[in-house]
Amino acid sequence: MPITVQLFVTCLADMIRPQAAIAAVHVLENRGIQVEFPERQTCCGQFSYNAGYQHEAAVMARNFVQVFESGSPEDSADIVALSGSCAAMVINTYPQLLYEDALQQRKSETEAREWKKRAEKIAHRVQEWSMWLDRHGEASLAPTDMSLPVVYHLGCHMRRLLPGSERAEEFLKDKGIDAREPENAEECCGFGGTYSFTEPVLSTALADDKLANIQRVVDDAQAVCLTSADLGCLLHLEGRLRRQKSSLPVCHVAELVELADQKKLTPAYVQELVRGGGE
Amino acid sequence: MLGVDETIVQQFEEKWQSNAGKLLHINHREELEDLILDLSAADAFKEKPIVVGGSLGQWEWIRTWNPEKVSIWSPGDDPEVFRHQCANASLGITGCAWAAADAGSVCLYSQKDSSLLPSLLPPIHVVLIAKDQIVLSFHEGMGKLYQDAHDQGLWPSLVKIVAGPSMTADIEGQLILGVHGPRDIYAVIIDDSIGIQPN
Amino acid sequence: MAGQLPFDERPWPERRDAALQNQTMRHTIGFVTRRFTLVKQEVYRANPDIEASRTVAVGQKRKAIHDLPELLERFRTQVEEHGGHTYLAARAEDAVDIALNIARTNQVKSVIKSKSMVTEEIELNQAFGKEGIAVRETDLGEYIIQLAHEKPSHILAPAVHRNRHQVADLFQEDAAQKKIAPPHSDDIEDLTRYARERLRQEFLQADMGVTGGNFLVAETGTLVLITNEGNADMVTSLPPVLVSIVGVEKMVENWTSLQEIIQQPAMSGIGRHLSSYTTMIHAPKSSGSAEGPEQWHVILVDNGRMALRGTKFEDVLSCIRCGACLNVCPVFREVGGHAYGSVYPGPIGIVETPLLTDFQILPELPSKLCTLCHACQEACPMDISLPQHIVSLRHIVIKRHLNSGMVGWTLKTWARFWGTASGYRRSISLARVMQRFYGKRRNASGLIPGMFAGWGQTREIPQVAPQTFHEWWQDRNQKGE
Repeated sequence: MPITVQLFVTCLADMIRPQAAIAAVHVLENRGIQVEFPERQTCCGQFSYNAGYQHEAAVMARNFVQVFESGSPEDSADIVALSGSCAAMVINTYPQLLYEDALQQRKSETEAREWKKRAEKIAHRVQEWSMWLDRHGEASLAPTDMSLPVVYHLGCHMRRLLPGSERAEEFLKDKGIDAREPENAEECCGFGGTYSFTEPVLSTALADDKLANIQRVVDDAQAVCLTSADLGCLLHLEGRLRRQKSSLPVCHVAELVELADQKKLTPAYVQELVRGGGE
Repeated sequence: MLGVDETIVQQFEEKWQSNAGKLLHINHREELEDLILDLSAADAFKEKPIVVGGSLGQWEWIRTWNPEKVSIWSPGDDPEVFRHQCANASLGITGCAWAAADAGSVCLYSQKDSSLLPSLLPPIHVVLIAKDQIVLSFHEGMGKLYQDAHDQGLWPSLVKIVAGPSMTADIEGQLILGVHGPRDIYAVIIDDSIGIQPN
Repeated sequence: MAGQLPFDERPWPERRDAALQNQTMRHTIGFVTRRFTLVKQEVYRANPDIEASRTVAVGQKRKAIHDLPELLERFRTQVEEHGGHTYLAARAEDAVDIALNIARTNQVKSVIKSKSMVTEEIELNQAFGKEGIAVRETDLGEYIIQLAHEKPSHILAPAVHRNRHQVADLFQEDAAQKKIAPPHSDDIEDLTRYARERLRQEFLQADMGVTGGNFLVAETGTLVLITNEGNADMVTSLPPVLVSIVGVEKMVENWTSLQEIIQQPAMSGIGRHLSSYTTMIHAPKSSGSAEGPEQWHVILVDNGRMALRGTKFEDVLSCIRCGACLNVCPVFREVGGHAYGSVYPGPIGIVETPLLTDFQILPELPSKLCTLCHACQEACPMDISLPQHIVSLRHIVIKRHLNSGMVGWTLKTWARFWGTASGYRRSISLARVMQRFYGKRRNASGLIPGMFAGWGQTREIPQVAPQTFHEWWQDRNQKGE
């Protein structure tokens, strides 16, 4: 029986970078994995939660739990998220958030605990897309002799809140994507969800530091693009690059993995990815 | 002396040096005398006294060196006078209560018969360490301090642990030695079996 | 009861912009904090057994905070038995009054001080200055900023925002005023030598010494001080009157607890097993001793701390001021300590400043100075839940209506739309309409709703895709791909 996963596409991939999600689906299906997409999903609520709007986040979190509970017949398929940060939100935050919010909404202790239990069940099923792929369905793939240098940005939440994420770079290397972290890789790019809107000055100062280190990899290793498993960071950095008139391609890791699958891992195809998406 | 674990001594020496402490090996008592007089004979120090933090037990003979130049704290001395001597000294000598190998540190107690000032005010501090005073870990040394206080029924009013020379990185993060305390700190490790005892 | 902390009157954007324009500060802060972080990681890597000790220390410290009232009593009894004096100061102003009284009683004219964050908290120097008592900071960094009339920019390296030339200017000016020989050059070695000689006389002549404290041991009545320069040893050994002003939370229960925790500040702060000097004070000078103060006074400062016990923020009181969270914080590396506007900068400052003062000052700290990158959580040797606390504080700020209404409006509207699938679809249509309206014009921020406007000031705004993934999926299913 084929493995089935449920895709959590995330709001940013859905609205702004659907080609990343489409690539993610193709990569999974290419490995014989059946992808389900519970269509009533919206957003994990992290923007609101991190800004201190816990009830507003809980509204979205409850929707998430309900959607993914009913999305699969046996309710046990892994949920693969197209963002490390969103995966961490569901895993680390939902159970306590839904418990506390239920009590805040004057629900009974029993009902609050029930929400917590439901959230925990969901949390156990969630994994970031590339980490999931690394753990499943890769054994059969032949090794590659391609090697395309790219700058890899491992986002803070994936790095610090998802155990095992240090493998992410290796996973890409196995596919011929020569992922290189910039200097001071562990330093935040300044995105920070709502922080990027509410404190644009510092957010941008941090982006500029990050981009300077990224540019060094581009110069020294002829890296052809900037990639990450987190679109939030990527859109923030891309927005800054474009404002600075830089044309460095920016793409989600799923897009590169799809190119690798198609044996199209070349600078020209990477360029095309971005043109295809941007217009 | 039996039971001295040379690997502990070696570990202390390595760690002490990595803390920017200096190390002196001596084989004979005369060497110690020469060494200390050498250290204190630099031009800037010529006329200045050497101060000693207390009757150093088996090193009491230091008194015989040069009574003009060497001042040793003894209970009943005038603290003001001794402090003045320390403030002007070229070099201070103390013993220690214990030393810890893993941290490269020495521990000094301030008691009636031992003063910390020679370890603090002169630009050079020489600390004499008997091999059997070196314990494996700082943790263990702290336990010894507690035990000593209990055994004596009295806590030293001040205890000082030194793990390297006085240092700062307060200007541009650059490491500089010798801010308020000594700039040079020498550990002299003494093995009683090599004839350091007084004649 | 809420405590009192001094604060910078300048609004946040002004503090921030001043910091961002100070390239010297940003460069040095970046250099120093990254180096501290690196050596800390190395010392932990090279000594895997530290981790076990650290875990024990955390547990014992939590328990000490839980038992704090009882431990304070034990500590006070012990110190008094050894001939010291103790005082409990509820608020900053009480601590100042107690210290001033001690100074007046002893007709103190000059005071030497080793570094103490609590005395920054209670603004001791200013109060003594008003009484005509000269206070001299003796930590090199503190001495520099005292000459410059500034506040510390890093709890371990207070003058890290100044370069050698700026320090040299300060010392030249000081030397001219005192009619003494100025430093030989701008060389850091020469500058340090100048400070050594200049401060040595003050050490020997001072009437009173003031220290902070790194740990208090309830069982034995011991105060522990940690420095690298040796100035705390001067302060505890030389003046006849010693006043130690210490936050109540510095308490550990017994000697065993001290053994576990005593190396943590150096290990986590500067990546060494120990700082150069660890000094333990147990009692005033006994007759016949060469050194030590004739009087020893310990002022235990509450100033908003005790009120945190029993709340979810209680673990904040476990902070040992090692500076590890500052050193890893990307925002701290950008702006340094002054931008935080009060005594405690960095992640711990974001959390403590509003908590100690019950949000009376600087309520913007949790939202403006943290990207929630969780680096501080990883770095804190005392396992303080800094990111979780920062989120909670943001929540409290909203509940108390201390934040921007615009952000609130946006996030409430957002939740109304995105709590359901249909609302989510409507919002996407709406976004497309808006996008057509403002087109791809740069600086269209005025046309963008709510808080999103901030993005466009510095970055191009991402476009909603012609076909969302939802739409693609439906399309594909209909086509039966």
